[in-house]
Amino acid sequence: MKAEGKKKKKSMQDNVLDAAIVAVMILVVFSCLYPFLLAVIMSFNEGIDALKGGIYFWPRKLTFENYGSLFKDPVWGNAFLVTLARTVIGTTMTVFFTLFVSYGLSHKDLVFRKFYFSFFIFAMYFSGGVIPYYILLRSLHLLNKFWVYVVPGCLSLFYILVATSFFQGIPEEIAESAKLDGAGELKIFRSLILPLSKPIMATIAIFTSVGHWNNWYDSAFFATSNKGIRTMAYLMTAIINQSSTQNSAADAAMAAGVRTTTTLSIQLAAMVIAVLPILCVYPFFQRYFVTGLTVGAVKS
Amino acid sequence: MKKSVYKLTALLMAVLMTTASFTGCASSKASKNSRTDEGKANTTGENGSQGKVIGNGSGDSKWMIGDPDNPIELTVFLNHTWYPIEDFTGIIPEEITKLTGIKLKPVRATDYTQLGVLASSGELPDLIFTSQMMDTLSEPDICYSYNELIDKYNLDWKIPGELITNAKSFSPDDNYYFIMSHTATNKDWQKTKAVPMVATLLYRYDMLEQLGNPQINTLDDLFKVYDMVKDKWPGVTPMNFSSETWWLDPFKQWSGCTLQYFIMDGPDDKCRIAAKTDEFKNYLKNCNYMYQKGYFNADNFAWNSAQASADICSGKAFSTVGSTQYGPGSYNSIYDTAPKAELREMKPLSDYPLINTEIGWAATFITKNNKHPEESIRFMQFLFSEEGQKLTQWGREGKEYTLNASGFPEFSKEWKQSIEDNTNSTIYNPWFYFGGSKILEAESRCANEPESFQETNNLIRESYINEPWYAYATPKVNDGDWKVLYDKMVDEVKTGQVKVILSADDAEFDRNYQEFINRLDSIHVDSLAEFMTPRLSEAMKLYADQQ
Repeated sequence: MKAEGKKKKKSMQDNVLDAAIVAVMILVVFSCLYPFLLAVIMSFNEGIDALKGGIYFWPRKLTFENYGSLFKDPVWGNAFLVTLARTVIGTTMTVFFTLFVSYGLSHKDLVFRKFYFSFFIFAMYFSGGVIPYYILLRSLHLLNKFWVYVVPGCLSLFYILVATSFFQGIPEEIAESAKLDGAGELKIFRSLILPLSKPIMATIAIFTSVGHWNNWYDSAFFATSNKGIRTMAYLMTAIINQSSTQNSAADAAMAAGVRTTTTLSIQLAAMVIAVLPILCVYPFFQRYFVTGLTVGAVKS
Repeated sequence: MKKSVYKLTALLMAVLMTTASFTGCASSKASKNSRTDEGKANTTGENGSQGKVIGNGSGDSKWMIGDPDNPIELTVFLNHTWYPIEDFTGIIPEEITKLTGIKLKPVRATDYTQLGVLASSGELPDLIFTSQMMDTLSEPDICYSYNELIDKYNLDWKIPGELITNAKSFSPDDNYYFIMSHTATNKDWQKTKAVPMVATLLYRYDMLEQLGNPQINTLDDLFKVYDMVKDKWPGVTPMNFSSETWWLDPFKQWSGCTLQYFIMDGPDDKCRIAAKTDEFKNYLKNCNYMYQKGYFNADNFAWNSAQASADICSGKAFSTVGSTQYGPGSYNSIYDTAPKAELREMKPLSDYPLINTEIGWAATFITKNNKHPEESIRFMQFLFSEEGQKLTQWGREGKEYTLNASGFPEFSKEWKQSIEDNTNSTIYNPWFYFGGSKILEAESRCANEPESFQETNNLIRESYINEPWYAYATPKVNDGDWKVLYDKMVDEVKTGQVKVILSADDAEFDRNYQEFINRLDSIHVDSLAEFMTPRLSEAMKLYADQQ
C-alpha cells in the first residue's frame, strides 16, 4: 500500500525523452503562435518602415496609425453596433431554429423524414447561384434591410445534419420516461433535451457567430444602398481595397511623411480586429465541447 | 384520429416547404414595376418631388438642369473598389449642384462581381461609372445610347470623332453608349507642356555625381553605370521594379520594342504578333543580360509597388522603374536614409518612339432604369465641358487654383495642405471627374515638378505616339473564342517571358526563348494575327478619317 502511494521514479531515459518531447512541442507552439504574434507586432509598426524588414519581436516604429486608418470614419461606431446585433440575433435565431428542426428530424417516426433529408442534402450541394439568390431576396423584400443578415441564415443545412446526428445519440429512454410522466414533446425538448444539448449549441453558436462577425459579402451585395446597416467586415474590406491602389492624394500624403501606412499594415490591423473578439469569446465556449452527455441520467 | 391530423399537418408542411423553395421564380413583370417605383423614389429631390427641370441656360449658370435648392438626385454605382469616397459631399460636389441642380447619390463597389449581379437582376442604378464590363453594358436593353439621347433632346454637344470611334469599339451596333473619360489625342499632347502617364526610370542623381556624372545616352551607357554602382556600393542593387505596375516597360521601349501585343505598320500590312519579333527578343536579351550581371533581383517579379518604393527609399537601390505619374515627391521618405538624395528621371535611351494604345479610362453609362435620361445626358455634357473638367479635377478657379504663365494650375495653400493632411477627399472631393481630361490631369501633375524633370518630360512627350486602333480592334467579349485566345496569349507573354529573362546563361536563354516561342505557337497565335489583320486595317482607316 505504501509502495502504491509513492510516485514511480523516472529513469534517465524517461527524462531525456520527456525533455525532447517538450522541446519539440515548444517549437511547434512557437511556430504556430509566432506568425500571429508577428502580425500583431507589424500592425503596430509604421507600414513603410516595416517593408524594410528586420522586425521580429517588437515594433521598431510604434504607431497606432494603422488602426487609426480603420477607425477614422465615424460610421465605424454604427457598423460595430450593426455587427454586434447581427451576431447576437443571428446566432440566437440560427441555434434556435436549427435545434428545433434537428430535433424533429431525429425522430424516426417523422412522416416524410427521408424526403426532408434528401431535400436538405441536395440543397447543401447545389444552389442556384448569386443571381437567383439576389432575386429571391428581392422578392422577399429583404434587400437593404437588417433582416437580410439574419433571416436567410436562420437554418443552416450543415448544422441540421450535425445536430440531428447529435440528437439521435441521446437515449430514447429519456424521452420515453418523460412521456410516461405525462410530458408533451415541447416540455421534453425544453426541460430534458436542451440542457443536454449544450455541447452542440455551443458548437453551432461559435461557428455561426464567427461567420456573422466576419461576413462582408451580404453587406456588399444585399445592402448596397442602405449605408446605415453596413457591417464592420464590409468597412474593413472597403478600407483594404482603397489602400491597395495608389492614388495621387495618397501618394502625396505618403510623400509628405503624413501617411506611413501600406496595404499590408492595414490588412494586418484589420486581421487583428477581426480575430480579437472571437479570441476573447472562445475560451468561454471551450468547456462545453468536452462536457459529457448523459452522466447519471438513465441506466438501460 | 390524432395520428391522421399529425400526418395531414406533416403533408401540408412538406408542400409549403417545397413551394417556398420556388418563390424565387416570381413573375419579372411584377418585380419590374416595383423596380420602376423604386427607381422613381431614388431620383426624387430632397423634398420628395421630382426636382423641377429649368432647362439649359437658365439662371446664372448656363449648365443649369435642375433646381439647386431642390436638386434632382441621380444614383450612381462607382464600379471601382479602390475609390476613396462614397459621398457626394465637399466643396466641389456642392459647386456641381449649384451650377447644375443635380445631386448624385453614389454607391461604391466592394467587389467587382457586384455590377454583374446588379445587371443580371435588373437592379441597375441611374448611372454607372466603370472601367470594366463596357462591352456588356453597351447594350440597347440595358443602357441608353448617347447619340440617341443627344438627338432626342437636341443637345448642342460636338463630340470629337475619335472619342465616338473609341466608344463604338465596345458596342454591337452603330451607337455609342458612353464617352470614355481621360482621353487625349496626339494633337492634344502636341498642344500641352505636360507629359503622358508612361513608365519611366528614376535614378539617384546624387550617387551618379559621386561616380563622376558619366553621360547616359544609351542602354550600354546605363549598363556601364550599373557596373560602377555595383563596384562602389556592393550592397546596393542597381535597379528594381514591381510586377504590379510597370514591369520593365522602359527597357522594352529602349530595346526598340513596342509595348503592344500586335504590330501592323499600315492598313495594307499584315498583323504580326509582337512577342515573336526580333525586337521583343532583343528586349528579353537585354533584360536577361541585366539579370545575369546582377543588376536586379529575381524577387522583383513578385514585388508590389510599395516594396519597390520602400527598397529605393531605404537606399538599397540605385534606380527604380516608376512612372511619370509619380514624381520625386512620391519617394520623400528617402530623405530619412539619405538626406542629400536627389531623384531624377532617365531621359529616353533610344530614338524608338513610345507607342501607346489608349482610348481612355472609364465610362459613365445611363441605364434604362434612369427616370431622368434628359437631365443625365445634359449632366454628362457639363462634366465633359472644359468648365466641368476643371471644376471636378482642379476645383474653383481663383479659389482652389490659379493658372500660371505656362497654363499649369497653381494650387492654393489650403489645397496643398489638404493633400498633406490627407483631407483633400473630405474637404474638396475631386472624385466626380466622370468627364475627366487626361491633359488637365497631366498638367496638374507637372505643375510642381522640378526643372530637371520638365526637361525629361519634354523628351518623353515628343517621343510619345498614341495609336488607338490597337485598343479599338482588340478582341472583346462579343468576339467569343478570339477573346479567349487573346487572353491566353497575353497571359503566356506575361508569364512566359519571366523564365526567359531569368535564364542563368546564354545557352539557357536560347533554350527558354525557343520554348517560349513554341508555347505561343501551340496556342495558335498566328491565327489570331490573321484574324486581327482585317480588323486593324479597318480600324486604322477609321481613325485616319478622324485626323
